[in-house]
Amino acid sequence: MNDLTAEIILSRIKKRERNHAVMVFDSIDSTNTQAMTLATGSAASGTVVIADTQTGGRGRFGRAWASPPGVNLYLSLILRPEIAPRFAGIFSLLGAVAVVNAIRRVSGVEAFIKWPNDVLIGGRKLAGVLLESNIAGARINHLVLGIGLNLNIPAADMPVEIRETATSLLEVCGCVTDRAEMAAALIDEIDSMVVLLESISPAAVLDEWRRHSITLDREVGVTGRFGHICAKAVDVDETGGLILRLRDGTVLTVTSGEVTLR
Amino acid sequence: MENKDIKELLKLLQGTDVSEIEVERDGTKVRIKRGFAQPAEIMVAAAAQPAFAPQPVATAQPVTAAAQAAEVAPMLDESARYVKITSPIVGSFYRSPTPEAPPFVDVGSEVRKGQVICIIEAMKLMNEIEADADGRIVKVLVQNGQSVEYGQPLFLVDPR
Repeated sequence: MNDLTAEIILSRIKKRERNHAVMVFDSIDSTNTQAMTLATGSAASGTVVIADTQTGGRGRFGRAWASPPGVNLYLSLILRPEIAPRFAGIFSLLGAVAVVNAIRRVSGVEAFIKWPNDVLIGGRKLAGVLLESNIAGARINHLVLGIGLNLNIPAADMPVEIRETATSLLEVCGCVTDRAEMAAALIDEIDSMVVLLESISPAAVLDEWRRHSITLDREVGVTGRFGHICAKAVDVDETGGLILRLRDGTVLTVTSGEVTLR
Repeated sequence: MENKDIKELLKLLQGTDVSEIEVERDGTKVRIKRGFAQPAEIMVAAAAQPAFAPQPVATAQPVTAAAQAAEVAPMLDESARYVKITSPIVGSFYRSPTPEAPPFVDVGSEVRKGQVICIIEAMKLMNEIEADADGRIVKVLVQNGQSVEYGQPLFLVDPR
């Protein structure tokens, strides 16, 4: 995997909003697990963990994330944000915006976001964002923003169970994407959004999210512990929660649940 | 809308992921926001100009229902013996990192300050929550998967 080295990635970061230590592994259990372990130690904000393949690639609640070698990007970035924990959820939306911006920059393809952070093209999932943080009292000790992005994997090589619901940039535009260039673009775009959040405002990040959302102003289904709600997705609130309006006019905000677009 | 209706609404919200709800009935609009910045508040206001609208039963006085405990620092229980560990965010409470994994802590577990004791999920961000006191877990106050509010007590700890 000569295409994916720390040196090449660092040479392609353009904006340089902050310093980055980039670690590239041939094989690792999970870039997020590794980044969380490093962050619990003394790893600096901006440290990036990338792997050619993950043996235990995962989403939330330990769900598997298919991570074959040589084709996709598995990247986790450590942040130590100086914001109140109640705003931490915004990073979920921020991560998705960064992915959409990086894809547009590298491939010229427009992807869309389903609340809070699924990146879709043509209704199929192109990228997943996994966020984990560690909170002590009123402070976020660290936050890891993990991205799994399907780049050069043909649909035929995807696990059968996701073949109907997932896609890759190769399938979308028929072109092979340089993984190092995409990694550098992701790092750049995450940095830009973090700068927007910290020096402008969380609201500015939410505005960016609204621009790329395919969730708002439409009927959605939301399934969670409250059951299943059919409602119109109206907006997101100041913390990234999804504001829904039911048929009878009741307005409510959810912070969890699976959204289906209708 | 009467007081009992508001109580019903509050009951309806308990244990759900819903953090804000607005209901309009008989010309009166009620908005309940389970918050973080301040205790859960209920604003009751008459909707625009219906002359015959019933008087709001409660004025815009916040009702501190479930969230009087909106402080992040460890607090002493009434008995002054146990410390409450409270939630720093609004979200869903999980006792283990995956559904199959054993809980981070259980009743009787000795915990140290800085030890991860639960996860609270919001916007698909999995937040590890650290104990902010040393001691022994006396009670787990929230069910796995339940919604929690900012400042809601999660664990009772017998401090060392």
